[in-house]
Amino acid sequence: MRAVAPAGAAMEPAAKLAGFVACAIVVATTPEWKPASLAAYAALAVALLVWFAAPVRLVLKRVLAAAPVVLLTATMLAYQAGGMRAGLLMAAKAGIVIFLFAILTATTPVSELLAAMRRLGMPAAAGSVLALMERYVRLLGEELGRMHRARASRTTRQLGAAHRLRSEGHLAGALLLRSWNRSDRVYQAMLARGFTGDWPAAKRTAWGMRELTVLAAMLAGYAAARWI
Amino acid sequence: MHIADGIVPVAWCGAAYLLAAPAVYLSGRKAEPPEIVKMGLVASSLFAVSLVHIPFAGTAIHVGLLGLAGILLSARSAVVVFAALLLQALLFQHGGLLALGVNTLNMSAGALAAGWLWRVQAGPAGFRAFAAGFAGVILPAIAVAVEFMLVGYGKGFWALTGLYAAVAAVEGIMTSAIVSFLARTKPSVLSALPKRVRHEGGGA
Repeated sequence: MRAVAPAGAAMEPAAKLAGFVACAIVVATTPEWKPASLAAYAALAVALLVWFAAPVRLVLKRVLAAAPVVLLTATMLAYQAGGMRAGLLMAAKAGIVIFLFAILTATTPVSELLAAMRRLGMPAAAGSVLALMERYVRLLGEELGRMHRARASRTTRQLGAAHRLRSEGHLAGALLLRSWNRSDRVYQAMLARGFTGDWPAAKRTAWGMRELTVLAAMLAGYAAARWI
Repeated sequence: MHIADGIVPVAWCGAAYLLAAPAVYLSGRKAEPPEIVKMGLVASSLFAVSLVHIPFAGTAIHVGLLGLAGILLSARSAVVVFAALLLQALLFQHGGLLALGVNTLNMSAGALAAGWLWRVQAGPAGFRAFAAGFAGVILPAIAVAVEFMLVGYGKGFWALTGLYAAVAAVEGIMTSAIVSFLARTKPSVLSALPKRVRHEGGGA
């Protein structure tokens, strides 16, 4: 927990999501190479990074993780179809969009973003599956780690490549079976706790003046940057 | 093969969302709570397995298990593919939020085709499982190559599909290993969803 809440911390997640998506669309639909606009987009993204007090290392890590795909595609575009300028434009736009979303995901808990998406009309089955995944991916990942350790402690020689794949397949199959059987117990436990078919909504939130002001400022900034 | 944000034009992303939304909705339609819980747990374990890097032939590979998702979930796989892609976009920024519709279409096509290959009952089970795993990788890769060509990014990605064929073969071997394990230990898992799950454990 932070000692001092950052300026943007209290923003309602659905408003925040809408704001970042809208700004990303403004950036991604920019039709031509305009260095002034691109520089302004980047400067505004840095301002948002500060305003939302995003952890800088985490944001940079996520942008760098996406870099190979972006650079590969931009290179292909530059040399095969659109020319150097088209490649550069695509790489710059993609970089800024990814930077924006990295700020969003680094400053908003996944559970809040998912709740916001459920409120914004995500199909119900997908929302339920996501609620379960959010809870069980880590738990089952840890279980798989324990299974790996158990196998390593019983395996004395190095496995060959084919044998190794088969052995990994068996572990994955065992984990799947455990989850399959576990799902019945999970469902019974949910019923025992009063599950009626609806997922409890996260705390009710509403858009206030604050959300509207920040949204308007973000959009105005990006729209102005585009028409520079 | 995840398409990152900002690469495919926004109009294409919007069109893909318009196609993906009804596909995801139909795929999850009329799923009862016990079946949903099963889908969630299966999705979580596939996701957990896909995060593990396996040392193989001098490098580390990781499997996507789209083929296995198709085998286990059949028509329900589109919901799970969408959910997994959204979670990846939020947790690790693999793929992206604008490109989520495009990625969902590409990957669901792989999973649904894999489920179909498994269920047509042509050939021995080991071969069908291999084919399903192979299709789960190669079809999304081909879809990306076609999309990039249509969007005007050239034909460069066709060269990559050759590379993906090798990845797909490894994935096929892994999928058939998992399926043979399940067939020996609890074969009902391989044909339970989406229809028969209610008779099995849930509905209490």
